[in-house]
Amino acid sequence: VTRCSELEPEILFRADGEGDPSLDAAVSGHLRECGECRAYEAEARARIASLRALPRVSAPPALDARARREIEELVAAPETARERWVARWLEKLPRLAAPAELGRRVLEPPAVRRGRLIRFAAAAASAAAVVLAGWFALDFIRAGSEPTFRVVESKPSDLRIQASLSLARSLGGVEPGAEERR
Amino acid sequence: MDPDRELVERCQRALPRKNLAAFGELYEAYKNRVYNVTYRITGNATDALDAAQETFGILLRRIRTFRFRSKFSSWVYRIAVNAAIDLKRRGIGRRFPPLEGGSEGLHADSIDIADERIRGPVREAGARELEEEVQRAVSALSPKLRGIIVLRHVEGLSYEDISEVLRCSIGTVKSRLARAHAALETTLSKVLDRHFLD
Repeated sequence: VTRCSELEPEILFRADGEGDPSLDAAVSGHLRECGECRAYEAEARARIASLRALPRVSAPPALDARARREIEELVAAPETARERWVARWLEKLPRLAAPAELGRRVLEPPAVRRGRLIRFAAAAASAAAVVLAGWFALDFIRAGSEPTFRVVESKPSDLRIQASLSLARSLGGVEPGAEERR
Repeated sequence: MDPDRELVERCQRALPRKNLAAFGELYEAYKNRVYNVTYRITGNATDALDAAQETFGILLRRIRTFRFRSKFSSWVYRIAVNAAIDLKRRGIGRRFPPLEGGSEGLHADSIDIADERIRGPVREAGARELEEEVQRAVSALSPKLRGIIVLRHVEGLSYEDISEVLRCSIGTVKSRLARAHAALETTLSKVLDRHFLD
């Protein structure tokens, strides 16, 4: 059983001339049986017709004047060093995508740039992780089954023990004679 | 192949040399479309003019970086829609009187329909009233929904073209369009009944 609310969007898109052809038979069948949906379709068609009937508005002469002023301002304004640099590269290498891409990224608004930067950082981190894993694997294979990194047991030198004891003594944390007991 | 490609490339080559003839051609080709979109989204001539000016300013400054990843017309529409929506969001735009305000809220000066230039072929009072009410209902939508209604029903773009303009999937276009119609249904049903059923 098809519920009307499920078909409503499709009825709307169909009335708008962008219906899904694969659903056409189902929608037509439902419309034949459901008076409420037929009314919905008729109303959607009337609404769309009223929107399409809005007259096209031509640009007023004031826009020409404002656009001319905008152009004059741009022509009069000196280009920034960055704009000059980007423009020079874009002009010199129109067939190569890289400088164009660079120029586009430099001129992009900060929000877009930040998004791309995050994606770039994530890609770089993943690449670094893969390289590191590969390097360890290669190292392990080269050295046979024996790992190349070992835990080196170190014995604290007497001099360092001596220094630590005298520091502890000065702070009052070691009883006299502890050195001798050692 | 983008129908504007040759003209845009000519513009890109000429602009660094401060040669603006090609840009003039582009401006002439797009000024009415841009103004129509900004007018229908902002709902009044003054804001539409500001948004259209901003659109062409952005085009002029950024056309050299356009790489034909989408159709040029889609790019222009995107800038125009965003400029109009931003203008309203920043609160610079003039507010519409509420729909419930009755006939006193429908004075021509509020939406500039009485402007001789805009009136066009719509001379009959009934048709003009319908136009005002439809425009008012569109203006009451949220900016996103308003943009999609204007692109689809006023500019006649396909769902695919709209998805390119708004950089979203066709599914998103469809769901926003359905939401916009649901909102318009409540505000426009009485108006349409009065105009078409009486």
